Amino acid sequence: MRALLNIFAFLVCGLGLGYCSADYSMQQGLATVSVRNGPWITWPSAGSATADPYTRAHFAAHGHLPLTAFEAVSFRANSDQQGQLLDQDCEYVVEGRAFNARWWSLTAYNTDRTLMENPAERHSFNSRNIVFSGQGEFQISLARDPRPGNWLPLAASGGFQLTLRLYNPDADIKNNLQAVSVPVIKKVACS
Amino acid sequence: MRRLLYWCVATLLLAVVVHLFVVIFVPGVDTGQKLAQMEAAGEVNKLHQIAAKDTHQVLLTEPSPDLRYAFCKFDIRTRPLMIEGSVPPGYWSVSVYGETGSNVYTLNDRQAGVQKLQLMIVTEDEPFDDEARPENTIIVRVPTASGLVLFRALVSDRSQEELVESHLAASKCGLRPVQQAAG
Repeated sequence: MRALLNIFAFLVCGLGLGYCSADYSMQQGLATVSVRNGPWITWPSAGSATADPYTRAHFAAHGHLPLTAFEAVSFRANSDQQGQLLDQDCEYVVEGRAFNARWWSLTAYNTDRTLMENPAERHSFNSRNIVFSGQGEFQISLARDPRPGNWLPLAASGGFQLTLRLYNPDADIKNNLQAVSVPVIKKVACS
Repeated sequence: MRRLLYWCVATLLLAVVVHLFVVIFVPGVDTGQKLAQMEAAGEVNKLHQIAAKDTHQVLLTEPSPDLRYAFCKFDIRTRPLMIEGSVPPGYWSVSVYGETGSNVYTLNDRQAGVQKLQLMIVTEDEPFDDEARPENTIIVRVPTASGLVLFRALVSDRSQEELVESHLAASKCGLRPVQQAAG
């Protein structure tokens, strides 16, 4: 009986530990293969033929078809500046400056990486259609109800994530992802 | 005590094996499923536009709403694939992915520098006479006989939607005709 219990514990712990550690390293990114910049994370070798297994796994696990860093760099955030998970029951302001890239976009997704359904059919702003408030500075409000300026509607309750894509970025972005002036994500209030 | 140590080491070894198995093999299954969905959505070796609504959510993971997409799931076991891209004004790119979802090749509108771009896709191990290459055609060698070509075109505001979609509709994907292949 004791031997059976040992085998059971061995299988449960071994399988669980192996699966959970793999899932965590694929989803959250190991420090050796991903770069964190504030609440944002990026995978420098995405799309590259020489990408490490964890980067490949991260993108392949969702059937994602990545571009190489030469073509586009993408940052993803699922928490605010304080490290709290983004929540559609709250309101946020995203503040940043224009990037040294041919064009860029900021998009809100559900946690399953689908676009949020909303009556305005607005899911993103890009460098061509966003309203800048100063010398290349911008502010985007994320809230359920309309807000003046750049407003991205939040839909149902639950978490969400933001993806920032910089297309044909300048060398200073590609070479120093940690120093990119990524937007600040501030929580305003929660309902 | 020795027995406990034995079980701990065995558990860790099992965890390492499971960890490596999940990282190396499971994502390939997920990519295969995604490519199979695309194959089911339209004929192989033919270009299909992805509608701005609806199918976005199924065929592409984390689609950019600022882009319009068209894809061609290819199988070049018998003949090379010919791609003709109609390049709209503004950002445009064509990417070739292998069957594991790795990005084999990407070219954007600025690099192409033309309004009509021709690509020929052949497998790496296929003997190919470079002199038989059609004029003004870029040869892309891929590691696997099946994969995916994906066009991305920027729609920075809704007024451009029709123009960009007409360029994607004018693009083509198909196996190289037999007589050309023989020549």
